Amino acid sequence: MLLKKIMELDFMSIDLQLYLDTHPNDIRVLKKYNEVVEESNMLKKEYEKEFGPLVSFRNTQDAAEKWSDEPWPSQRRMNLRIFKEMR
Amino acid sequence: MWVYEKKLMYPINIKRADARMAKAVMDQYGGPDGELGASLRYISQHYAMVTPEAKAILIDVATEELGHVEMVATMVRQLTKNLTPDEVKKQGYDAYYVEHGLGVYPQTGSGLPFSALAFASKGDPIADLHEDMAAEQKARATYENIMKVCDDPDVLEPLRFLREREVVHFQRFGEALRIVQDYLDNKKRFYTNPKCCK
Repeated sequence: MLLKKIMELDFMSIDLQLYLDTHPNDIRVLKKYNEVVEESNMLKKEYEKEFGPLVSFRNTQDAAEKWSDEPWPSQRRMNLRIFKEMR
Repeated sequence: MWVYEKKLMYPINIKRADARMAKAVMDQYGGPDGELGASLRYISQHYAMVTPEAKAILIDVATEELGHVEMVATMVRQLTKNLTPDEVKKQGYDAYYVEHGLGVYPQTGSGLPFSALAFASKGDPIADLHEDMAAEQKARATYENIMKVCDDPDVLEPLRFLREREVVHFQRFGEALRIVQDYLDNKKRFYTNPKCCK
């Protein structure tokens, strides 16, 4: 599932960024970080085409899939399918 | 500035309502070692921090903590959403219920409202980074306490994730502290408020 994959990649990018904050000269990890972010950006474009904007104020949107559309992240049905796959 | 991403950092799908558990988890929302305090602590401290590495780690961890705020609030919501008035009474949630209904309010597990008194911003990079490392350890211990009184795997999984992040943040703050100490050494400064030593 697309959203689960995006969540995994974004978690990796957060963790790698924290590492890079205190190890700014580690080129190997910087490369990995860039790969992860690029893959996530690609998947996000795909996701947004189907489900509407993922990030506030940063992307165009159309009339069919609006920013305000449910589900919002705290709702169980947003997480239900992702969770099934994790077990 | 900040932008919002319409997803959780880690998925949460809690099927069973449990008001007692909600109160325990709530402590990491509005409690003294909770995620809201953590985020505000790091955001506030970052302005007076020295070295680019330490500034970056403060703002990036603060940002991640905002994602954790969302996670614990989501857990409280899902743990209380389907409570019946009878369950509210039986599970000791009635005092909270009278004030907040089934809304989510930042308070400690024992009912004190969120307070900025639980964290500091000293304007002293050494004092602040030591506090941050202690804060991550206290948050880890709090998560472990919550996990000890929790038997629902739906709740345990995200708690386990959040606990682990505290360990990572502690590590990064430790690295930042060393960078800052080296920097202050090089500049022949003392470990006190930099403004006083100019």
